[in-house]
Amino acid sequence: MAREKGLYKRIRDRIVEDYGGWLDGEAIPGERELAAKYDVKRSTIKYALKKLEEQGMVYRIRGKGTFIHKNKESPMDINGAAVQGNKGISALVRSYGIKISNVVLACGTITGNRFLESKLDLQEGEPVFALHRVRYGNDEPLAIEYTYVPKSIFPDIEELDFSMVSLYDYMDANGHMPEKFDQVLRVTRLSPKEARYLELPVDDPSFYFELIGIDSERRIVEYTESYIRCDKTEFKFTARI
Amino acid sequence: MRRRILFKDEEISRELERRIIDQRLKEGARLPSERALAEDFGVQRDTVRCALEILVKKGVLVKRTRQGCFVAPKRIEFDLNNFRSVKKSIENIGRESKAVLLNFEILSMGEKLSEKTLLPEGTLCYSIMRLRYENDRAMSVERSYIIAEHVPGLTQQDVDQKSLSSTLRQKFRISLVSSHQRLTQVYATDMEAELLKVKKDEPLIRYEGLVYDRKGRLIEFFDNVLKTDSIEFRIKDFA
Repeated sequence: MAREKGLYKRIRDRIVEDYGGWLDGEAIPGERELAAKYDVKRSTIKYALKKLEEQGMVYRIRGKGTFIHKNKESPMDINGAAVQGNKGISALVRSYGIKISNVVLACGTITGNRFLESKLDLQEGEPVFALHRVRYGNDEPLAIEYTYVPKSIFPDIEELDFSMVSLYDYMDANGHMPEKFDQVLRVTRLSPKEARYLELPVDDPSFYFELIGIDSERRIVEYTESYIRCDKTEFKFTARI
Repeated sequence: MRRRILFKDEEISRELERRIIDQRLKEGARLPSERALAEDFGVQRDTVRCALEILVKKGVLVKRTRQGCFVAPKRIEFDLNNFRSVKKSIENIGRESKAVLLNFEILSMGEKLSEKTLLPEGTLCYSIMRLRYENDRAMSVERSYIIAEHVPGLTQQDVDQKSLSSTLRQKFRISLVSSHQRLTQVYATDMEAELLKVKKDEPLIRYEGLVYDRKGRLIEFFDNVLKTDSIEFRIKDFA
């Protein structure tokens, strides 16, 4: 039984790995096919799918099959950069099938902030576009993100509504998608402002995550600071030795 | 009127952080008084106090009762693109590393270890527990489980006062190449609190990883808990 338990988890993880990236509503192969693919008994597949259904990653319709369940953004990852970068640190919401939504706290152009200018490698006085968002998972706050981009390369950025549009989609459409990252992660304490938005007591621990992203022309296109709820997330990565 | 994007205290906290990054305020330096800063920035003392508080919470400053704020000691950086031993990461910022072996035994995996490693319950492994110090300050409790079949005859002497990776390389010809790792936040257990000299339920970082060798074999599972204020993790994919 111990062996079985480990086995179904391994199969579950492989299903997530192989099909987690599929679109919402897409049908994944049937139990028989999966059993053959992973060379396990059909009962193991059945059990793994049942668990995935409980976690909300798939839904099953009797007689029709198993379908991917997700919302517009990847349900598992609240840190788009990591998915794109594909080898960064990724913040994973601990349960699958969570519905991510954003609330824009503030956005607009800032000039004359030397700290942000130096993070973005800008000349003194060059405008910075700021986007402050709270990210919710199933209507509970998960993270507060302060993102800054050089305004000069995104001239029409002020016209967008980032509660509806994904920042990365917009940056991608403009040909300045961040591709490589410098990421730092710490555990810190919540200050009153972040505590209020994350609906936690001041001084509670929080992940503090900072990243600088560069585009294909090696230009810094993003600087982000985020405070992420520790109780709902974990960070994963692969380290080379 | 346009909505405010950065409040005055946030602006000031960033300006102070910039001075720290620029080394105009050095590691361990005491910050000017609230009054002096208030005058310098042309704001109320309350605003300065909030700005300092932001940086204290962020771990950039440390506050000492009746003495004011100081620039926090440098954090030990775990560079994930250039994965070094903990010892080297500590020495890299000019501190001394020391590890005290607390326990060394061979055990058979129970349910929890079996779940973590995906190996069957009953698999034999060497269990090593160490307390790590940086400059005589307890920093982390390190637990390591080495799959016994890959390291037959591993002894306490092999791991005491020696780096595990060099023992593996020299004695067992195992070269470690990659590691799947996970970070979560936990609270100190009684034992961890005592060892690390923190309060019970103090937030700690739990740093776990499965380490593989060149042949893709799982060699080690490590499960460390670290004090939050002394470390940071970094991964940089450009120069």
